Amino acid sequence: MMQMSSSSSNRAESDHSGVLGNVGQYLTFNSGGECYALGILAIKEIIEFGNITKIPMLPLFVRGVINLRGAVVPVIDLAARLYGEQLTAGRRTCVVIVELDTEDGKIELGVVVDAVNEVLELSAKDLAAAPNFGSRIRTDFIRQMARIQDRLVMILALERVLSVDEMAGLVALSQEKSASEQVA
Amino acid sequence: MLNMSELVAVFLTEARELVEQLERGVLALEKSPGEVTAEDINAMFRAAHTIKGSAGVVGLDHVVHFTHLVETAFEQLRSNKLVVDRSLSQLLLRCNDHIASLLHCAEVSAEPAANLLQAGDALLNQLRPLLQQSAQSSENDIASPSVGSAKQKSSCHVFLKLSASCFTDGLDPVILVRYLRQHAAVCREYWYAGQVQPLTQIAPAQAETCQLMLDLLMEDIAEATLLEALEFIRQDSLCAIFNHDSPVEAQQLFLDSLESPALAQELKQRWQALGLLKVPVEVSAGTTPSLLPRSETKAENKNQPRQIDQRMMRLPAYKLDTLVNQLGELLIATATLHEHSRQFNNSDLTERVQQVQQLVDDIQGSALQLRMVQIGETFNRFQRVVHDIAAELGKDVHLVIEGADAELDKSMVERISDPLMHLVRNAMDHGLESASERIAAGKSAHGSLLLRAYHDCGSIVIEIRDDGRGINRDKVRQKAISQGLISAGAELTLRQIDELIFEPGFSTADTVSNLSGRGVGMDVVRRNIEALRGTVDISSEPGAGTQFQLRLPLTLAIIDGFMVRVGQSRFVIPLDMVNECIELPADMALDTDAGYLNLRGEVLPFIFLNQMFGLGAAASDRRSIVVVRYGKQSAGLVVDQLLGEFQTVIKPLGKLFQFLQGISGSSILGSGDIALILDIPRLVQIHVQATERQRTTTTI
Repeated sequence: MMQMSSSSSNRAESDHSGVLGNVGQYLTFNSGGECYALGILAIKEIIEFGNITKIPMLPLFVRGVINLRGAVVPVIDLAARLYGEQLTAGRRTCVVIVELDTEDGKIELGVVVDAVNEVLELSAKDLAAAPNFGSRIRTDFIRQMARIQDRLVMILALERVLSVDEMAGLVALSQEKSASEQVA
Repeated sequence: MLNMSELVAVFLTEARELVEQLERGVLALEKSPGEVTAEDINAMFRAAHTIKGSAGVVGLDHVVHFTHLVETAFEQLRSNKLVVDRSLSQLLLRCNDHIASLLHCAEVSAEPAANLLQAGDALLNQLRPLLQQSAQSSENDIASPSVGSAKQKSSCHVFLKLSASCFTDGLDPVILVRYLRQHAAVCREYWYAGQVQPLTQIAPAQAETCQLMLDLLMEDIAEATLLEALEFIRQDSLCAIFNHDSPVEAQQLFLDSLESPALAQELKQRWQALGLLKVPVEVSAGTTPSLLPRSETKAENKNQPRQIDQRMMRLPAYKLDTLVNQLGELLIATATLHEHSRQFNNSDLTERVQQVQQLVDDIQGSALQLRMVQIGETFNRFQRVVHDIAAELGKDVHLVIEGADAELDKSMVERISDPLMHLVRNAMDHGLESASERIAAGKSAHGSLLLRAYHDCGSIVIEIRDDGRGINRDKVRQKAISQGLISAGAELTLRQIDELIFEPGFSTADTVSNLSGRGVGMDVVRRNIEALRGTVDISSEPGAGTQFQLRLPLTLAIIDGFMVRVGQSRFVIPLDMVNECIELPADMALDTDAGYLNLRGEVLPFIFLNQMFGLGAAASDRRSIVVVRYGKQSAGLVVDQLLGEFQTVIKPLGKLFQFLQGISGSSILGSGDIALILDIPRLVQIHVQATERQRTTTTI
């Protein structure tokens, strides 16, 4: 569908300002009826939704894995991860491929969203601190708030939303649960 | 060009191997001095010598300084000036360890700490009195350690075939010989001419052609002096220098490198007549002199393939990994191509594609072979471990190694080393008794520990067996009860009791020793082995010993799989584990709880994969059972459709799925879809646990 220019991924290595949630370019998208933004430097590409291989006994937020040009990439359902409700695929549903830095090096993950909107430039005056309470999603998932055309949009703290350690723990839990459920 | 740090890296890799070689040598020397040949000792000396020399080149002065005396010790061993006894071999082992520590410092680019250097000096002070006087004086010769090559004077043999233009170039060999004679204690010269044509046939222009050849035998000449003297004449003439350091094959290699076989033959005979020809030891022994020429040609043939085999190439491991990965991609791409080509109904095209696919398969096979290494290297490391632990525990233990040539993937070798170490320590500490206990039990005083590897059903099996006291099942049971692992009334089979030692936190040792007894270990061993898709089995006989059997796949990179369909999902079962496929009997077509099947008189438990994985009711009414076997356990997997065999590259699922149960990885199919690889042992285990739990709930 739409491929980020390779220069953006090159910049990801030299300049982290966008990822850190400061001034820079952001991608806005919808998930579960809410609008969110992500620093563009973490995003590698956006692909069509589909061809996902399911893996048994997983929590709702893991859709499965896809074959991304020979690499097996896990796909996370963002709505399920944020609110616990799995997204119903529609015409504009797509998978945002992001790259995360972890202790064991970079990993790629797919994130299913309802629709992607636009890429926009945010300056310091557009940004505000994250609220301490009152949001629908876990506050530590929000890095900052951005004012976009009189609307407040949450900029996601990707490394927390997609924390591999945390998600792997949840996968393990769900595995044990399904294994014991078989007995019941 | 290599820069310095690369040079150091190369040196370190080489030196580490040499240190290991030295260690093996010294251990052999200690164990059975009678079996160690002169050539072995020579090899040890050369190893020490090479470490010193190369360390000098890369400027590791500490290593040069320290290794010098060690080298001298080996030199004196070689010339029988020094006799090996236990204290000497222990000292040499410690010296060897010290060299390893110094190398380690160089590896992390740190200067050796002061106490390390002091320890080194202490070792040298212990070693020095053992050595003969001459060695000590020669140590002063290398006051500046960086000139590692300026080693003590020695005898050597130089062969020169003077270039044809030697005289016209103004080089006079006689002057050369005269010069050498001044510097060498003894110098014998043997001149001879090559194929000189009759005078009448020599054209005037050829009159000054030099046909001379020369063998020079010198005692006590400094290498540097010799090289300096030969500097000019070497440029055009054929020149070879053999000293006693040169390997036995050096002469043969040189002769083989000659363009003219006739000349090679002539030289060989001549050197033989002069007693210069070094013959490989195993050949010269046992052959009568009269037969020598013939047996030598035989030896030549025999040595030829060995030389080819032994020539090694060093390359960084990641290059191999990249190659294997790329070939994996190529394999997938070819499979995709194959799938597409079939749509065209063009038999020519299909055939060509198949050909390519076959080739890619073959290449991948060879590429994976490249990563295979013999397990012997890992096993040999235990010689020292066993030696040290035995000394520490005051036990007498013989380590026997079998199947050292069994091959497995390099990455695998690295990862089984720790679990093996643990099992060996465990066997020595818990399994084997002290000598007095053994005698009391009517066994030989020395315990034996067997390390054995062999291939079986596409896996490698590694056994660690001791002939010690075996597992004390009563004690294990008591401990398990007191540690709350089992209830006091639990009825366990002998096997289940043995398995208790793999429980986390379990330990029977009453006191925590340096070696074991902390209760961390056996569970870690099992976890590590299972992480490699392997299993650990234990069998024990009270009074007779314990055996641990590790079963591991040969490689982690590739899998021969059998593909099945369950619902919409496709799964790959490792082919090694598939025994047979049978049709699900019609009367069992429903999802039943029966769970067992009579397969030719044997009870076969089976698993409905669709139930287990929550894939919904079966869509097919003609389902099949794949009978899988792993180790001693058999089970049937009920699947919707059999899709056949294929070879595939394992794509790990990554950290996110590290705790996945029953699935060990994934694989990309020719169509681009992903199939999941089933982890059969785990799957069976989950099933067994689930049914056991079920049984307990129903009985309550």
